[in-house]
Amino acid sequence: MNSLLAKADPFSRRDFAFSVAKTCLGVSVLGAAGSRLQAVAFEDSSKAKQVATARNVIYLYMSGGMTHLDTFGVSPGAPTMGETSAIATSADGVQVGSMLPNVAKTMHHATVINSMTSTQGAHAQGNYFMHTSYTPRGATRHPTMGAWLQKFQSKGNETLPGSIVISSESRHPGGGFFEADFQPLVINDPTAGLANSHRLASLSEADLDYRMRLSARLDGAFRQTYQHATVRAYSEVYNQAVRVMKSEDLVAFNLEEEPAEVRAAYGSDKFGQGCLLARRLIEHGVRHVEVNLGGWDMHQDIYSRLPEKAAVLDTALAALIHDLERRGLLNDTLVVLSSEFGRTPDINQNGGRDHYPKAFTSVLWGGGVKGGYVHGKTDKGIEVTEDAVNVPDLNATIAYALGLPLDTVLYSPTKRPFTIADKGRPLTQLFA
Amino acid sequence: MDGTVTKVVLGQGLKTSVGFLQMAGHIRLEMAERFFRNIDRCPTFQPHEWGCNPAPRVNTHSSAMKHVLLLALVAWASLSPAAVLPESTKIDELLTRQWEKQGVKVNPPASEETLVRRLYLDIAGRVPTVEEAEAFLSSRDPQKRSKLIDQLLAGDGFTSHMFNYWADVLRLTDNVKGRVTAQAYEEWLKGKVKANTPFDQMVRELLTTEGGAWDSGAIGFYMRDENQLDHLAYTVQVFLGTQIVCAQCHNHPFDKWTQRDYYQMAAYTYGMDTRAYNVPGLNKRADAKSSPLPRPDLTGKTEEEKRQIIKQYKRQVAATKKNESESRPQVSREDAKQVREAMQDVMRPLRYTNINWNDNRMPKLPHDYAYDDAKPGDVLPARAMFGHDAIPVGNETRLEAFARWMTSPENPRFTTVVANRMWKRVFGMGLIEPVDEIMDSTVASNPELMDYLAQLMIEKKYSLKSFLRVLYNTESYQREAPRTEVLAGEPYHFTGPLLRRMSAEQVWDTMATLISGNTDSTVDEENVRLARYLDDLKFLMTTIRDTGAEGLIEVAKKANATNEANLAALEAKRKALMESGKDSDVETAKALAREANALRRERQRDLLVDILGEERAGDLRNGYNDKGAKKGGPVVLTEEMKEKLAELPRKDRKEAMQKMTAVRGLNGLDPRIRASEQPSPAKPGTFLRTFGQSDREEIENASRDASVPQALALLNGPAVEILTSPGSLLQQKVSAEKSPTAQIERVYQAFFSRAPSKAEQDVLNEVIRERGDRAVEDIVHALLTSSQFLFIQ
Repeated sequence: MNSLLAKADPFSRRDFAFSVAKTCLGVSVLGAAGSRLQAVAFEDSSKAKQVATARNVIYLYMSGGMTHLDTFGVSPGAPTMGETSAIATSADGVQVGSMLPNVAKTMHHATVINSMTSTQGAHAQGNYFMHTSYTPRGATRHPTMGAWLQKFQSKGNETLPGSIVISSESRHPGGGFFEADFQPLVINDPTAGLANSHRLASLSEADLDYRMRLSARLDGAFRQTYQHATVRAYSEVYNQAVRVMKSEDLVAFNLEEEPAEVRAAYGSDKFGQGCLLARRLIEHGVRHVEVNLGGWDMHQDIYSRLPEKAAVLDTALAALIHDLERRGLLNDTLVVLSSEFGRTPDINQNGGRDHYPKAFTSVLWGGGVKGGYVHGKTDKGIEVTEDAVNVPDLNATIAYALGLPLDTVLYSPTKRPFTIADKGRPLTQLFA
Repeated sequence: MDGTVTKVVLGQGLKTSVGFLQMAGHIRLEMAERFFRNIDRCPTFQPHEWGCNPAPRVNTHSSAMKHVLLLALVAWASLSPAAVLPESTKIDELLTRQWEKQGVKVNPPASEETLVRRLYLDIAGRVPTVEEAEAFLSSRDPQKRSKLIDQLLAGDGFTSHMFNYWADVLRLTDNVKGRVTAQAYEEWLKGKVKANTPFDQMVRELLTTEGGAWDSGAIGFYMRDENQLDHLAYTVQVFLGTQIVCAQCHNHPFDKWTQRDYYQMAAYTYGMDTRAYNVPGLNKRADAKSSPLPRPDLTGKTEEEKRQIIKQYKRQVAATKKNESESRPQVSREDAKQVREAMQDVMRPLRYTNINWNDNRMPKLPHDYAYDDAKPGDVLPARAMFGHDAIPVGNETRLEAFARWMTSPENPRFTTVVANRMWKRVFGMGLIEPVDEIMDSTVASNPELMDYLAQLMIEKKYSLKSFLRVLYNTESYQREAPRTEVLAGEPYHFTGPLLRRMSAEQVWDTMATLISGNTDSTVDEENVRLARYLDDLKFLMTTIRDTGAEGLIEVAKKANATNEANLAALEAKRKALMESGKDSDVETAKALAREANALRRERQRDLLVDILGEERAGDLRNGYNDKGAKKGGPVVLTEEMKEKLAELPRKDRKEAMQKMTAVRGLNGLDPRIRASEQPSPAKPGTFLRTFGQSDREEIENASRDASVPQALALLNGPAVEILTSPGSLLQQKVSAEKSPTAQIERVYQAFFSRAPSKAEQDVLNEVIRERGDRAVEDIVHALLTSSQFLFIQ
């Protein structure tokens, strides 16, 4: 770690010092120092701080634009509901779409943000904005919440990655401009465990250690010549890989350890098994896990495709919430369900719904938020009429739950200043 | 003088002589340049001829001239590394000017070892074999760099590597619905890259090709998104470097594009109908009342333009009427219904295989159109978003006019975008970044150079190979990569190409090279099975078209009658099963479903036979299965490998074979076949995807970031065992060396095209002492897991 630090540029060295200070000295010292330093430039960032209500986040990302009107943003009786009807839930005054009967039973733990609104109507841009609070403009890549969490607070388990993304998509903003250690581990197939995490049968531990040391020595001249972040990243991921391999918690990746009925309860599909893996990882100290469910981009024939997709979500999400609750993890684990945007209130000529960033829905469970609560109103899912929540606000709320300093500035390598949720304001009223 | 020399010297000998002349100061540089521009028009350099004979042709008529040439060669050699093409020199000059202005220090020339590895990776997409590197390094030919560049540009490695690039840009994916068309599209693209079809022509083909996948795989372009309204946004982003996707739903918040602009642009391409596979006279969509043609927009047009527009409009109206009368069903409603019902299943394989231009298909403004300049539901005339307007001339459709407009040298962005993309491909960063978000306010980091590159692209008639050839021949490209990191968003003055991590495909193809040598011959743009199946589909399509709805009534009635009989039989069976009460409900349901499926298949077969005849129906029903074709076929061993394996004791042989197939067992991918010949994209979790191959969901979605799974794959995956198994070429060559030192040097040559440095040798000697027999395997694994292995210096 020392050598890594020595090579780092002044800014990342200071970042590092910050996170050390944070880890050792606690929240207030860093928070104060950070805000004093940047008080002028960052007046717009929220100063809101609290004692964390959540320690972990399981972030369920509905990739492609989840239809809000058919899921959590129902508008009972409105023509915009299409073929979906609203059903009652375990919480008075909260209704969800008829394709989510099991999730309906968890809503007494949930806060529905009914009044999300975004400025980004294209997938790539919307996805990036939702993950980072910044629009993808210019050449900076911004960090996502898991990386911010790791930056400001320590890892929950030193031998496992700070954050993990379970997704078969090829790109995620990840740790953005942070160093390699802050990049999430991406797992494509949750049932395959962590691929290649065991030493080859033909090698002893001593053999592999020898080879690793040799590799670093033979690579020395190259690393010396090119002191680039991209090169450093490789020495870092190899170190991390070895830490993971030797970790006692490697077992977290192995779903075979779960009883068959638990595995079945989550559903046999990748998303269901991904949610189960997320729970196991949280239990082993990984503090931010994202699980991706793609295929929501239903421009055509939405009602022939939605039932299948909704069923996958319904099974897995309901199982996850029940499981977390049963294990006493729901109190300090915030489960977030989100998507880049919603879908049009009107059904188009192809029987589908198109992109709709103007009004949509995100939902939070556990982690200190009120249960059975609905925030914001829309007019039949068309326009936000009360308490509009923009994308940075949602991220600020998540960060607030984690007790992260929203106004502390970190710099990208190009010396540009960034905060966790840009200028987002946390919805403090969501917390019980 | 021009004339004489032109006759005497062609090809690269000529450049040499000019190098000499320049040096001797006989002619001034500008003269040399003018001279070259003339030569570039001579047939030897026709861009279309690439790939046939890259070797320079020196055609000497007199011994005196030979003598001069020889002198020139000698003189030039001592002067290297001067750029050998005048265009390359011009680029170097433009860069030098900027370096001087900015006061940046230029990088030293790269060593030949660095350069040979870089050239192979950049052009052929893989490292050179030991022999290939050796051939270059030991050559004393002063022209060897440009010759190697030519050789690599002409090879199939280039085809494969360039295909991977466009596959990422165009979001090629062959594991979705419409797989047959998607694969035909891939083959089409490989074919175009291989033939070096001028880029503008290639784009015009993409934009305008209609018909079946059997006619041209280019239809895959529209089929990729079934030509939904947002397809236009992808098209404009890729080829015009402009982001208009926001404007599909509302006026662009950061750029000037309005929603109206979007719909008017979409009006050009929207007529490509991807659902046009129905029987003529039966297609509900085609029979539906077509939307009226929009009145042409004449505002701001000159009189001549107005005349042209109106002429075109009248032609379109006439065509529409003709179309409508032709497509009017000549069969009764009841019969048509019969045919439609019967044909549903039979027609299914034709889905996603055919697109047709429909002049009447126009996008309507959405119901929530919120601006004052038009009403929701309006159909607006096609209009180009910038530059000159795209107006059809003669018999052109508006789509053809659009394709001409887009790819014209007059288009303000088309040429710049592709020139900048190619520049980025060579140097690692564009003169404009990002390459696809250009606005009016965008300024290139070196505007003069950007202008020149656009001009060069036009001069080279959009031959990407000719263009790249110039870039690879610059001194600037042949310099060392900068040692200080160039951060995203910071200006860079191209004092050398950037240090880059290999793409996922380059890593894969490099592994393939280490395991089995030059694998470029695995690149194949012709898949015989696919061609045969497409031919069957075409036969089905044409037969149905020729027969027409009226000709199908009888067979359809027969099929429907069978169907009814089948249903009645099934119902009877169901009742019988229920009454017997033996089986559970579930079992009963399953049995019935099986029965129903069997009957349905039988009916389909009968109908197909009725339409196509026994033989062709059989072929078609066998369908297309690409498994066991070229992708993921059985492990194929080269003769050399077979020999090596035969020499082994039986037990070891078995083990070696097992190791060779280990990766297949894991990923289903053969490590000795290039990435471009694998499923595209590879499945998540495979080696290629782990190293960041694009999922093809978004434009250029590949990633070159480091990740823990990559490290784990190289540490614990089968790669190292395969590399050191007797079936691997690397292992074979290493075993052939006697001393450990020579063996290890061989490994270094294979990985890095160089011998170990003095300092490295000291470490390696230590390893040999400490580890004895295990030394080589240790070193292979250590190098495989080094960062330098994954980078292009």
